[in-house]
Parts: sequence; C-alpha cells; structure tokens
Amino acid sequence: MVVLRSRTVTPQTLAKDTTPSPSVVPQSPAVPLLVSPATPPLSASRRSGRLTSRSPPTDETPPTTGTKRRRRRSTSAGVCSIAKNKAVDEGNPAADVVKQEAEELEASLPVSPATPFLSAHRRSGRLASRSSSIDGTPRSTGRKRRSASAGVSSENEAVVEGNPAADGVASEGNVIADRVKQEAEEETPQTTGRKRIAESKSAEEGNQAAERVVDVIAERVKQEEQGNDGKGLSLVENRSVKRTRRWTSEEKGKGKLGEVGTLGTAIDVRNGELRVPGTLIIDEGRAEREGRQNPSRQPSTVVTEKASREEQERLKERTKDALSKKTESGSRMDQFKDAARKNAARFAHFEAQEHQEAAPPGVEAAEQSTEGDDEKVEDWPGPFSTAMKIIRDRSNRMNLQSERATSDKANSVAINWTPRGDVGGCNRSRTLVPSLEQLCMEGLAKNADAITSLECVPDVFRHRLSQLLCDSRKMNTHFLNLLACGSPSEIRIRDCSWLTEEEFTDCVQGLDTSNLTVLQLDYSGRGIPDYVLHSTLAASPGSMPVLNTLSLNGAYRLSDIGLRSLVSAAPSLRCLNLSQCSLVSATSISILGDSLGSTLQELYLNDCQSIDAMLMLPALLKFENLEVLSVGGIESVSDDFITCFVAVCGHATKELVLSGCVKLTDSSLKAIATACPRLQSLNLSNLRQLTDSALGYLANGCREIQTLKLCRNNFSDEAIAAFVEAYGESLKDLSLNNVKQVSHNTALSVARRANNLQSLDLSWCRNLADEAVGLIVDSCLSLKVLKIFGCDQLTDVLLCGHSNPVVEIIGMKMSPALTNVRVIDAHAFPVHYSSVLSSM
Amino acid sequence: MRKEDTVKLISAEGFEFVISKEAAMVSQTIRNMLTSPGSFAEAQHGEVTFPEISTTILEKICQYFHWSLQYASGKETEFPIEPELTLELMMAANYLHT
Repeated sequence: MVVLRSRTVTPQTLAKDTTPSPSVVPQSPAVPLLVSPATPPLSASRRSGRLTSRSPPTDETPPTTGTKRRRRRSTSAGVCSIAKNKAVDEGNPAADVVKQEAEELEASLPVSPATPFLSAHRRSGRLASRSSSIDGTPRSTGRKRRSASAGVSSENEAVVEGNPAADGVASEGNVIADRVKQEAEEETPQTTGRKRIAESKSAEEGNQAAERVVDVIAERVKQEEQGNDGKGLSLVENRSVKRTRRWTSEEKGKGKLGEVGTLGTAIDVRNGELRVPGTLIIDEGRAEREGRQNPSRQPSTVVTEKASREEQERLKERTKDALSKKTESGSRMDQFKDAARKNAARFAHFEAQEHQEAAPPGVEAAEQSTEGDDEKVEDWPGPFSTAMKIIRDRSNRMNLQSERATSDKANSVAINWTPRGDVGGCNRSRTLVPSLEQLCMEGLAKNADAITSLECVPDVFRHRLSQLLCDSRKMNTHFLNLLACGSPSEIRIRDCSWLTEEEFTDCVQGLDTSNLTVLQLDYSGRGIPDYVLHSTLAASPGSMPVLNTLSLNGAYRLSDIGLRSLVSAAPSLRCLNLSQCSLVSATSISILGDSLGSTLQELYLNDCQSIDAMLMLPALLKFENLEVLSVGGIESVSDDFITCFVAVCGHATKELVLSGCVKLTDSSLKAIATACPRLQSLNLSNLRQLTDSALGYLANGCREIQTLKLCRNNFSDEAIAAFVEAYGESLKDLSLNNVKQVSHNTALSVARRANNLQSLDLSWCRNLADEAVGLIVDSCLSLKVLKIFGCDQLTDVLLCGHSNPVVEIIGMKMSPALTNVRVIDAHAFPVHYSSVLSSM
Repeated sequence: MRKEDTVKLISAEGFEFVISKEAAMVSQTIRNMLTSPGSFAEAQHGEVTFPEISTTILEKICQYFHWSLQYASGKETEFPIEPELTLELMMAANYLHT
C-alpha cells in the first residue's frame, strides 16, 4: 500500500525528480510500522554526517529524499556543512514523510513516536531537530536549507542553519509558514513538489536565486497572511535576523559575538541547541489554518497538533522574546548598528579615565609619589628639562605676541616653510621605476611552482621570495620542500597557516637540520601540535645544534611540553619568538630559564594569554643576557614586574616592548630609565597612564634610544618636543601614531634635531599642517619613510612641494596603502642587537 | 655616440656590450664604479667585467637599463622576463644594485 502511494505521489510531486532510487523502495515496508524505528537509522545517518543511505521511513520520503539528496549532491559545494545540511534534510524529509504519511493515510499513524523522533533529533543538537519539531517546519526548513546550500558555500548553509534557530529569522520562517499554509490548503505532495521545485530552482540558480526564491515565497506568505500581523512582523524580523545571523554564524569560530538584536531570543547557536522559534509561528499559523481547514485535514491537524504541542510552549516563549526584543522598525540597518554597538567594546581603546577609575589603591599611591616627583624631573639639570623650559617660554612668548586667530599656528611657534614652486612636476617625479630585482621577484613568485631548485640562491633571496609568496597566498608544500632541500641554513616562512600536520610531518622528517640556524614558522598553529613536534623537529635532543633563532609566532597548539622538547633539541637558542602561543604558560618560561638562562638573548611573548607576569618573573630573572623582552599585550604586566625585572636584568636590556600593558605608570618608566642605560628601543603603545614625566625620566636615563614607538599616549606636545631636542640625534625610528597633542613644537624639534631619523610615523596627528610636515620632510635628510595615515589636513601642497628626493610618503588619501608598506626590514637579522655568527 | 659617453660591459664568456653611460648608471654598482673619486681601472678604461654574469643575463640587464630610462621619462610599459632567466637575473640584479 505504501509502495503504491509513493508511486502515485512521485510523478506529481517530483516534477523534476528522476525516478525514485530503487534502494529506497525496499525500505517502504518499514513505513507502516512505528515511525520511531525509522528514527534511529535517520539519526544514525545524520550523526554519521553522510549522505549515504538515509532510510526514509515512508515511501514518499525515499523518492523525495533521494532526489533531493541527489540534487543536493550535485550542487553541494562545502563538505561538512553540506553533510550536515543533508543530514538535516534527511531528518526533515523523514519528518516530512512521516507527516505526509500521516496525512495521507487515513489510518492514524502514531504521531507520538514522531515527536520523540523529533525531540531526539533536537537533543542531538542538530539543525535537523529544529526542523523536525514541526511537520511543516522540518520540511520547509529542510528545503530551505537545501536550497540555501545548493549553490552556496558552507557559510550560507551555516547561516541558514543558524537562522532557524532564530525563530523565523530567515525567510525560512516565511517559507515554513508558507509551507504550512500550503500544506493546509493543498495536497501535501504537491506542496512538497512545489517546494522542491523552488528548492531545485534555487539550487540551480545559486545562492542568490535561493535567496530570491525564498524572499519571493516570503513575500507571498506575507501577502497571504495579511491578517496575521504578528507573524508578518516576525517574518520581517526573521529576514533581517537572518541577515544578522549570517554574521554571527560566520563568526562562530572566532569566538562569542555579542548578542545581536534578536539573538536575545535565547537561542544558543553555538551549543547547537536549536530551538525553533519559527516553529512557534508555524504552529500558530497552522493552528489558525487548521481551524479553517476542512475536516479532511484532520489527520494533519492531529499530527500537527501533537507534533507541535511540545514545541508550542517553547516557541511561544521564543517568539515573545523575539518580538519583544525586536525593535518595531526591524530594519536591517538597525540590526547591523545594534550588532556593531554591542561588539564595538571588543575593539575599542578605552579612555584613560576608565583605567584610572579602576586603578587599585596601590597604583594610586605610586602615582601620587610620581606626581610628587613631577616637579623634580623637570628641575633636574639636563637637556630635557632645559628643553622643556625653552619650549614653554617660547610658546608663552608666541601667545603673547600674536593673537592671530586665522591660522592654526596662532597658539604656537610660526613655521617657516615654503613649498617648492613647481607643483606641476609633482607626480612625474614621484613615480619610481620598478627595480629589476623587484620585477624578477614578482616573476618568480608568479611561477613559483615551476622552480625546480633553489640550490645556489642565497638566503636573502629565499627569504624575500618566501615572504612574497606568503603575502600573495601562494605558499605551498612545493616551495617548502625547495626550501628544505639539501642542508639549509635558514628557513623563514612567515605564514604557515596553510600548513597541515601531514604536510609538515612529511616535509620536516626529511629535513637535515644540522646546519639550520634560523627557523621561522609563523602562524603554524594548525600544523604544529605537540605530538608532531615530538616526531619531527624535537625528536631527539640536540637535533638542531646550531639553531639560534626560532620563531613560532602563533603556534596555538604548542604547549609547555612541546616547548620543553624543542628546547632540548635546540640548546643554542638565542632568539625565541612565542608570540600568540596561547597555551604557553609561566612553566615554559621556567623551562627556558633553566636551560637557556645564560644564552637566550631575545624573548618575544606578545599576547601569550596564559602567561601571568608575576608568575614568570622568577624565571625571567634567570636570564643573564636578555637583550630583548617583548611582553606586549600581557595585561598582567605591572609596575612591580617591570621594576623587579629591570633591577636584575636591566643592564643588558636593549629593547622593551610594553605595548598594551595598560597597568604601567610613570614609576615603571622611572625604573627603566634608571636601570637600563643601554636601552635602544622602546615601545609604549597604548599605555594611557603615562604622563610627561615618563618622557622626562626616559630622556634623563636612556641616552641611546634609537627607536621609540608611541601610540595613543597622552604626552603633550612640549614634552615630546623636549625629548627630541634632548636626544633627537640618535633617533632612527620614531612613531607618534595617534599621539593627539603633537603639534608645531614637535615638528620644529624634529626638523631641527632628528638628522638621523629614517622612519617617522605621524598618523592621526591632526594638529600638523602642511607646513609643519613639509618642514620635517625637508630637514630630515635621512628620512626614508613617512607615514601619515589619517592626516586629512595634509594636502598635495605637501606631497608635491617637498624637496626630499628619497622619502616615501605613505598614507595619503587615494594612495595605495598596502603596496607601499614596505617595512624597513627589521627582521633581516636573526639577532638584532648583538653580532651573531649569521650568514646574512 | 662618442666614446666618452659609452661604457663597455663584458660578460663571463667575453661578450662585450657597449651602452651609453646614462643607461649604465641605472645600476648603482656601476655608477659607483664609474664615478667614485678613486681611480678605478673601470673608470679609466670605461670597461667593466662581470665574470659571474652570463651573456644572456647581461644582455637582459642592458635591456632593462634602457627600459628603465624609458619608464622614467614617462613611457610606462611592461618589461618582459622569460621565466627561465628569472632566478639568475634576480641575483645579478641584486649584485648590480639595480
């Protein structure tokens, strides 16, 4: 009987379907039985995530499922998500089939088994469960999903999948409602067929088509449901929420995004528990329709009611939540704005006031003592205080003299700079002829797969080529093997995100590491977990005897254990970069301290989330020759930490990177200044609690500073100017990015004193006009790079009027930003500050 | 072209390429050789020998010199490089600082 039914159904419903798969038919006898037996195979298949034999419980399902499956197979793009979708779909058809059968069979199929089936699915935490909760819903959801996935990337699928969770978020809700209506009004098979057609259509046309179809259906549904205002609203909401959902789903892997608009509907997508708000709507619609329907629909009604009764409570709650949290306008832009507002906090840099509020009393006491010293700093004899006084006097004089309100320079010293006359010849003289090296490099990068050997190529070229390939995303195992041929001395790959474990193992197992001095495998988290290291690089102690530089930036699967074996394999390490290795903890630092205490010279630990500064302090003190310590982004770094560290190790310290260690105050700068006389590079980005006296301490204590990176600090114009006046001649790289108060005093000082300055960053310093920057550019003859991102006040007068032939100005409007960011290659040398037996 | 305006570049196989001084000066290395204050033999004879650079590569380099002058004067075209030459050409270009 069932078999017959399926056969009759097939031609009508499956307009575009091919003949039902014979494999499906034999299962039909199982149909008359309880639905629940069918459930296990379905859930099993779904759980397996395969497209293989779904055992549809009914005859109708098999053909539809089969065809759908087939269709889906032909159009599916992604892997897992598609499998998931299919699994869901399978679940849906199963549910659909159940429904169909129930409806068509006058006999009352036990509906309750369907419900446990459905709830089982739900519990399985798949989208399928969501759809399966309601008769119409699963089908429509499934179809929706299918249509969405048909021509699209997994993203869309995820989106769609995520959407159902957001109660009618997607037009799915509309579709579902539509389907529900159609089910009520028409023969189910035809509905199915139409839906299928819609699905297949969308599948064929691609994602956008699917969207269009869905939207069309949604519109139709909307029109049809004019009386149902609440639903209409929810449909609109659904659609917009669906859009927002897309973002959320996409960012699933990236961590928790803030609650977005209707996400407040208590739908926890990440837990995979999909409650189906949409089902509630459908239920309501169905209930309505059921009321209107003729009694012939009784079985469906019965099925619907029974199936959805359990859901209704939940759905009602959800819908209420959705509706309540949804704004009345429900427009997409508002959704986006809400999302942005909620998530902005993750990216914002907080104002200093917030930090000060949160400062513990200990810090306040320190600050007070610092403030007490404030006057003392400037009274100390020294070039800094002298300079400060001169500058202050000068600006006071200028203020008294000129009250010109017309020009910006009214509050400060006048700047005499006239641009060059021939503004016309500006652009032509600026075009740099591409060098032959660059052309060749680009040609090589384009044809990297054709390179058969890098045998006679010196390391410099290998690194440049590797960098070019990584930047253009063409890096692959072929090139890695080229690099690993022979007995290489340096391997640098700055982006190993493409590298899988197998590829890494294959490549490195044959690698002769006896001559390897530099190994850089940045962002290799995916391919380098501990066990791979144990079997390859760190297989035996001392396997990399001459390795002095190791960079495993971003190796997020590297833990303390892996590091221990690495360290035993590379006993002569001098430079170690473990930035962004989230599993590395203070234990690793003790390991390093114990084995490399006397030899390690550079240690980079930026953004290592598991490291607590005070816990690692005792280990850090064991390093006798540590020249570079980079702890940017580790928020537990405090004044005490710095004070203790520099007291012991300051004599050797040449570079300190303290960006983002927001707890630091002037007292740590005072400690640094007293204890680190040989400091050459200091990075104080985002340290908002520092005041001018910090610069004062620095000027008085660290006489050899060559690189100073300031970003978003609160220093005043006079203080920076005074610092540059005092020690500007040794400065090679100065960054005043976003130091808002930089103005003419600084410009004058830089122009006058910073003769050796090679790189200057004045991005977002809005107080500098063309004349100020022009003066700097023309006076600093060693200047090679000038960055002026965000300086809208600068015009072509500067670009064309300056007479410095060498400088490269980066960041003006309409100039290609990224192509010009050629960083003065600070990483060319394995160890920065001390001369190492390097092959470069 | 007068003799004083030209330079002779000699490849590893002994091929001699005679080009204008202006073109040769595109290479920083050659420019230093020819214009440095000390009395280098190259400056005196106007000849530079490159024992490590093969003929095909040197020929390509001379073509690059002329292309570079053309580019700087406004006519911006593509400089074609045969893939099989690229590796050696890159190393030679690095040596010549061009």
